[in-house]
Amino acid sequence: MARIHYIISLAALSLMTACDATPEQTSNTAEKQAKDDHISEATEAKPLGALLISNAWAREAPEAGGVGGAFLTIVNGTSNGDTLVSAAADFATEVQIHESKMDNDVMVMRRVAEGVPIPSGATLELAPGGLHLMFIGLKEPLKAGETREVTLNFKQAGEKKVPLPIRSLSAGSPADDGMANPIRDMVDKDMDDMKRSSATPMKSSMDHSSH
Amino acid sequence: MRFLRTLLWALVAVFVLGTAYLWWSSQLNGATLSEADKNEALSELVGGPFEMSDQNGKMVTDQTLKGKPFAIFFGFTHCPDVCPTSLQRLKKWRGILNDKQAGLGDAFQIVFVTVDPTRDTPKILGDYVALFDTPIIALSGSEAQLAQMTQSYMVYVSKHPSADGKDYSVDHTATIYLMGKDGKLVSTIAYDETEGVSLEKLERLARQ
Repeated sequence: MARIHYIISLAALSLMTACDATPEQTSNTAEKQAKDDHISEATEAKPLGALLISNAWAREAPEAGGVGGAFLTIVNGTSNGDTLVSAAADFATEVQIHESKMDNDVMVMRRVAEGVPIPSGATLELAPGGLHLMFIGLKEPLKAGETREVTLNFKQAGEKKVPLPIRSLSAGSPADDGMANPIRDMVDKDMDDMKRSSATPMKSSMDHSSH
Repeated sequence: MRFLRTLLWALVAVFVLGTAYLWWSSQLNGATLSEADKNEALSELVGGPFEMSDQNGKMVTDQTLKGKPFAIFFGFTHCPDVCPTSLQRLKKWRGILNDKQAGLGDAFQIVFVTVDPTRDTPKILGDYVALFDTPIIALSGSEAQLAQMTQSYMVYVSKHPSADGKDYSVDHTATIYLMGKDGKLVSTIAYDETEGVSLEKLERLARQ
């Protein structure tokens, strides 16, 4: 999804640039677009400096010492590109940016150590089945109903503190309407760390008889 | 002359038989096999003997699971993304089927198998699946027991250490296998299957 947003946003942006839009106009359009995108989910977008961060939430995690995952949407409404470099939280030893991908029915998860660029006007979605923040070494369980805080570090915008409501595992994710996650489209065959030494025993799913 | 003729005919026969064999083996290799044939072939391959422990320390084998259909899925608790999503969906679909007809959603069991038994002890697994608020059998075992089980289910598992070597992730097949009450594969639900198709498949399993 993030990639599709990139493409759409970049296309929109280049169109605007061609029309000689001022940076202010670009920013307003991007903000408006962000609101339009998430209007159905009825979550408020909080302006944090020139970046908009919305839809932030984390999964319930039962074990201290275990891991947790968090998701959010970032809209770069500034006229400059920015990069989500890292994140930190006082309830975890470490916070890493991770990406899950589906490769021939095999789930693979990798760290995105180099950070994630967010071009001016682009929307970056951290959502189940794609990018997420991973909390490593939880100092205490994350309980449903609580709200924690995570600090995002951006190359340009600096540190941004974001409240994270914890959702129960039994409730599911807000975006999961039961439809498939289109992450198969995002599989990047060129990622060299995805190379596997042995073949996948079950390369293709057998049962599509009811399609 | 007669010898030559026989030889030529023999060559023709070899050619014809060879072509027929190549055609036949290409049929076997899939391209034109019907879905039903593939299902038939796979149902013989997927599912087999295993011996694991559930979250309460009780032994669960392919034999003890027989008698009731089950949806089985492999994952691990250090997977904060795809694994919970799949379990949440199974719980949701069970609820939808129960709403459709009392007991229909409860007519199949949900089985979660950890591919990371080093970190996922029965207690950790138990605490984890309890949060989904629906009955889930959570299986773990020794590396050898897990190897036997993933082989039985043709599940790909590969540990992938992080760059700093401090942590690891486990790549694994994320398909949900739907197993009949005889322990044989009935159908599968891929991670990107639509909800409608997934529900149809689960309902067929539940009505077995």
